[in-house]
Amino acid sequence: MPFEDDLRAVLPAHVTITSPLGTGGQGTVFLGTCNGAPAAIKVFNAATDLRRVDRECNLLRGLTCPFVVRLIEHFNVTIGVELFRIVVCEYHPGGDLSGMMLATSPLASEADLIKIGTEIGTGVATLWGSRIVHRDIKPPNIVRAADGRYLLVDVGLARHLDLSDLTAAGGSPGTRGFRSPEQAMGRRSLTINSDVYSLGMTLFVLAARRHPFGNGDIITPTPIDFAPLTATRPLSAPLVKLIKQMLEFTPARRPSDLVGHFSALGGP
Amino acid sequence: MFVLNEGYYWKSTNFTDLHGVVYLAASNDAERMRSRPLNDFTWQLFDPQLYLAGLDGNDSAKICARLASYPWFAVDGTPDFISSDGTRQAWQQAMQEHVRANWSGRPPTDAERNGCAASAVAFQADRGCTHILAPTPLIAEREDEAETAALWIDSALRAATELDLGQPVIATVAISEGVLNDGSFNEGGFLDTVVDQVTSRAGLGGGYIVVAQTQRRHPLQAPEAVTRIYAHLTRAFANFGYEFVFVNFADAFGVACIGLGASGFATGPTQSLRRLSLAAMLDEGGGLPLPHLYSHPAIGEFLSEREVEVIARRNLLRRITDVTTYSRDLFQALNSGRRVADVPTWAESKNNIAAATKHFIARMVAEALEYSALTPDERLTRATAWLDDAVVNQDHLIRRLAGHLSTKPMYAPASEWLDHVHNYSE
Repeated sequence: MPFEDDLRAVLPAHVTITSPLGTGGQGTVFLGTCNGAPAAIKVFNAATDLRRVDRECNLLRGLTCPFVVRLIEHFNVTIGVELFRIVVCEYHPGGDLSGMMLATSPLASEADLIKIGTEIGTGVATLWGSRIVHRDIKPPNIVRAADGRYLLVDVGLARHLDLSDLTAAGGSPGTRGFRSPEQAMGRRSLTINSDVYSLGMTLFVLAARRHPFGNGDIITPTPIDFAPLTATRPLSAPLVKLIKQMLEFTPARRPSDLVGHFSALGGP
Repeated sequence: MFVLNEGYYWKSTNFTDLHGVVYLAASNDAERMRSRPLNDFTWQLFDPQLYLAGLDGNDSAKICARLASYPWFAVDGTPDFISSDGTRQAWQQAMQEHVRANWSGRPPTDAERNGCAASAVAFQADRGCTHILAPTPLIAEREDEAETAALWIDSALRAATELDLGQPVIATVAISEGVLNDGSFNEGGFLDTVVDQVTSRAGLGGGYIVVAQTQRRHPLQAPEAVTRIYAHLTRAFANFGYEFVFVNFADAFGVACIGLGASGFATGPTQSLRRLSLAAMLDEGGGLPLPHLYSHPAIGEFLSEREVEVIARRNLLRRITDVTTYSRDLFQALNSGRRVADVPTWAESKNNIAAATKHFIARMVAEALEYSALTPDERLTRATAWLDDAVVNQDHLIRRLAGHLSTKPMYAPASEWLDHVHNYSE
């Protein structure tokens, strides 16, 4: 691939790329190494607002949370006349949670859901401590580390990238079906409450293996049928209630102390 | 529960049984605030009024001069007040000249935000305020401004933590009526954006709600959108679980807000302290006011002779009867067939407003005291009953007085207020 070759030629010596892991509207993620350790290397499209990337990368570099993928470094490279932002993060080969939604996978247990809720909830709260909103929480953006931890990936980078997408496509940022109502309505000044909704929807989908709105968004208050959560196996009433609260339409009605709520359910 | 907005001339010492005071930056310059001991009230608040940063320094030089005396407005080079160098009046004049040339008409920049917020927090702590009001700019145009206001709240919270203050930090939510449209009130609309921004901040002790009106209107005649904002935000903050939900500049509608879950409200002795009208902040002399009787049962104000006397003659006095220490003589006179002019404190002459003003404040104090003894459900019931009765009283007065008055009494839109209480209590 000419672009990969061009990229290899301009990367610093301690960073290497081997193969692409995925490509989206925002850029491409490569598997590679950083100082010899496995790393995910994200190359953002040239159109990205670099000031915002810098600001959030600087915030992220100061974060130490076991449930948020660690940002190792970020820098720019120039290929031809175009400037590209490179963000290097630690790589976890355990795979993301997309697989849990497959019919062939074992059903997520109550303990799994509480562990995901507690750990990703902790990650969300840590990000919000620096006033970062993830904006794209969904099963593919949660990975499992070798030691069993769940981690958020693509952290904090959705914002500026998605604003670019918004300009280009005229839509709202985030992933359809997992966006909070306020995000789907195009609100830019989101808060932790938006991530709480997305995590709630992630838990719903993992538990029910179906989306309550057929993978669509809602922008007006819409009743949710919670029966699928317990259709194939029992889930405790407090957990179902908590997921319901996380999916409240009005942001301020969602639980403000998510970690406390999950801990009360026996979270790790 | 009821807290007085203290102005330049009317002071809290003019009134009795107050639960607290709000000192306003626009009414009291920094030198004045520093040089006087605060009274000992249960609630002692100082509103930094950063939301007035958008005023025009030329058109509103008097107010901007007072505001500029505080560091959080970031006006450089303000003349220092040195008592040995000249009179206070000369200093105020110099301040006005200074703001005419140096007032930016904008809130401080992002770079200045932390320092400005910290100075406002430290000032309140130093003055012994019981609650720290986070300074925030006015939300006047766009969604981004809600986020900017929240960043100011963050800065104030950080400053309070660094100073290790024991007082709760309260989020100021100042919204211009001009920002609203019907969609703002829908679930997920603009006001929910504001609530989301505030309630997502951990460590806040509550919300302090101010709605700025763009027009100059009587305090009882705020537009429907203004009272609806107060109702919406009050209910949202109360439902969130804040212990301190405070409404300022809503005037008597503050009582309805108590019914909806507010823990307190403030209004003042003059029109400029009863509602926040940006249009009324221009440097122009006020007229000499006439005494108006405030009637809580009718939620209206009536000229003491030309209107109250006619009401009495038409046997409608019970519709407006509102007895306090300051109105007792008036009602006794009217009930015994005497004229208002026989009660000198209520004679309808220019600037004879002391009794009328004290009566209004005494009514607010007494009303708040009644509510303070009630449960939330009982407060809602009381507010609903009050508004129900007011609708009936107003209707009766309007019908029975038609063609008998040469002037027009000032009624609050009681029916509208009742709708708000019904809609937001469901």
